[in-house]
Amino acid sequence: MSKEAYHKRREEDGLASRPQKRFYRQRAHANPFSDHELVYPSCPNEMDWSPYYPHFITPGQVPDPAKNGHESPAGSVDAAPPRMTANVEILDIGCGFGGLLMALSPLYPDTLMLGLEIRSKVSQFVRDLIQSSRLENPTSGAYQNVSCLRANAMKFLPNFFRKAQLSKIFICFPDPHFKARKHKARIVSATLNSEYAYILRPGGILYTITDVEDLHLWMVEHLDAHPSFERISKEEEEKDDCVRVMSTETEESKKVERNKGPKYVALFRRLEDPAW
Amino acid sequence: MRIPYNCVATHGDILFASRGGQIQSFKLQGGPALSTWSHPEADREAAASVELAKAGSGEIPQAARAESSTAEDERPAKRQRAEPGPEVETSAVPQKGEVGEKSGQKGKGNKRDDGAHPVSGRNPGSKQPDTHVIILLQASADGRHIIAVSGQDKTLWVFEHDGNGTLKESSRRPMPKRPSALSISPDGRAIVVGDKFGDTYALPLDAADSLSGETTSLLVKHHRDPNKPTANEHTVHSKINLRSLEMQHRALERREKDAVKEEPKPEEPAFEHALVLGHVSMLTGLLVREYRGRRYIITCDRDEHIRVTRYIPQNYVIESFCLGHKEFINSMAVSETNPEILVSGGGDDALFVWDWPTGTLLSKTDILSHARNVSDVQHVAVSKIIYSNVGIFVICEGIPAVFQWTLSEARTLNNCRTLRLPGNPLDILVSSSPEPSLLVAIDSVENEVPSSLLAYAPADKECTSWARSATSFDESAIEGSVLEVSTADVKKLFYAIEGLRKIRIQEEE
Repeated sequence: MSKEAYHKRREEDGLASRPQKRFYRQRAHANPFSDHELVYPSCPNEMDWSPYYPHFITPGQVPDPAKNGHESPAGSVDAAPPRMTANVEILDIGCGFGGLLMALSPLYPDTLMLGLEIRSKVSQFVRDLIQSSRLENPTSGAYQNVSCLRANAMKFLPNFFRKAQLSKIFICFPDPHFKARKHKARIVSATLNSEYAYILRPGGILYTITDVEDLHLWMVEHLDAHPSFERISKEEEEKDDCVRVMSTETEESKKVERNKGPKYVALFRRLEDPAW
Repeated sequence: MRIPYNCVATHGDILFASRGGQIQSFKLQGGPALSTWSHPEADREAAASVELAKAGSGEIPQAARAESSTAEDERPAKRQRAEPGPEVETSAVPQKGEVGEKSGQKGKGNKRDDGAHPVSGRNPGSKQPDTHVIILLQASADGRHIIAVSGQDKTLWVFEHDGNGTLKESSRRPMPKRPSALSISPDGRAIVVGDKFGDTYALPLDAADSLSGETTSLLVKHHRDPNKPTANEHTVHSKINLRSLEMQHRALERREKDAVKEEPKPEEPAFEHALVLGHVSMLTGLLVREYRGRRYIITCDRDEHIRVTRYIPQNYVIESFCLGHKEFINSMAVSETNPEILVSGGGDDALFVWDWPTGTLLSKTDILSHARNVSDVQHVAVSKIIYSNVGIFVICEGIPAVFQWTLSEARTLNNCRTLRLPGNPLDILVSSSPEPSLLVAIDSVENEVPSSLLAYAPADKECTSWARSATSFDESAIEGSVLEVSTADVKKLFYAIEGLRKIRIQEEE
């Protein structure tokens, strides 16, 4: 079956069947510096989360165009997006095919979690996967707390999330960008870490895992050197449920398992900002 | 035509104006020329261009070319790429103050091309002579220093100013990437400079001074064994990647056998520079401001973000973002009297007024309609915003006017007044001493006007309308030759802001 025919049929069948990965394949790399055809809100207040988490829309609200935070005084007349009963608190940066999200969803059923993926087809796969999983569990409300959207996390995180909104950020098996001149494209960098610190609340945790030792050392060096983060001890790491999930449930971790490769884990706690 | 002035700065009654690779100083009253500083390579370049212009046509003498390229001992000039195709990639984004090749095209006749520049002489990899144009110029608050950036060699220059217009070079620092925005700290000790890759550094203004201990440099030296490939059999799987890994191993073995030592590349500049913050986008504006006893770095970029960061040493803490722009931002200005008010503009049809310490949008004011009263345009690209005690002054790329507003009690911009200019403004400045005056650098080439530096004096007490003042600057008194340029050169050099707009193309999957 061709890709087109597959996607057409899925649409006609109402997206109930589980999506098949082979119809969503896309090359593994995307240039984070180029201008992609991206849709993103100009600020967090403008972000409409209701299509992503329909079970978490505040019931019985009447849209109030006057209340729109940033845009209120002399700004646009756009109606504010519907209010939600919860905010996204767990973020998976570069979620790939969504294995981590699907495994985390039942662990924190009342917490909204979001995957960001720069490859459009892959993010579409995760959305289709979530949709079919929701349809398979119509009464339990399972998987209502997960979603995925296409975004460039290196550029537009503050467009989606307010200061200190998140409690956990996952960076699992990121693109290693082996060549030295591509190191600026790595998802953990000295300057980007300040942005992770901005959206992560004090006490929140940044999780990293990779099978590339050099990248692991790179991430540890850069997060260790950043005054907003401190490394979490191995003992504490082992007690964290999320570590087990990210070491076993993501697509990449399964692949590494198959190839009997190594896995390097490092967790970092967001510290309080110093007095000023 | 002689290259127009493109940057202006003042201290007291001294005006500094840059033209190509030269900085000239004038007395504001009356306009007599005081002194000239020339970029060492620019002088030679300008002389060659003048000769060429005299001859009317032909190539630049080979000797001049070779000379100017070997003189680049500090840092090799960036190789010019072949004309980029229609595909959009980061390096194809026109940079602010982008310097195209110059003399190579000179005298080739065909100057009427619109955008489609002749590719001849632009063989990929072939070294082109460089145009050393000053792209940023700023005076320190006490006027004792002038900071300039020359674009082609990415160099930050610091001059001592004797108070009478004479500049003495005190340091030159070639930066890793082309600087695109800079500001001097309120205490006058640090220069904070951002580049086209979004990285922002703090440097001691006095090269002999040191800020270490006062800055938190985020730069991390990554330690890795250069004799070991980063990938291994576990991390690469495809046949082709495994083969190249094997080849890497073999190459390393060979090198080990031959005991070839790899020369460490001098990646980092030798002078003190602390990486204080970074955007993943071209930095287009940078301010260092104090509010309620605390200092902040305010930065804006091509991706619609205005970011407020604590000043050094807590430069790793982001305080807030001012979000709401839908197009690139190109200029910001903060009020002196209302230090929490910031006005920003760029590719949007409106100017935005912010309470920047909290990141709150206070109002938006349309600018496109005012621009349309002057020129027939679809968009505006704000090139500079000045927030002076007599009003907010704004210029846009290619629109021969200065727009002036006042801030109302309700924090909106009111009473737009339009001052029409004889040509497109490249830079403006509002000086308050000895008396209020508005100084404009005009594109004299595109608009074929005799002078490139104009002074306006207020025509009323409130400084709401302006008229050409009696001051005329003695532009001919420049020492040395002035670079000769064509209209096409000027377009490439000074009209790059609209090019910051994103072209949202359909992607191939």
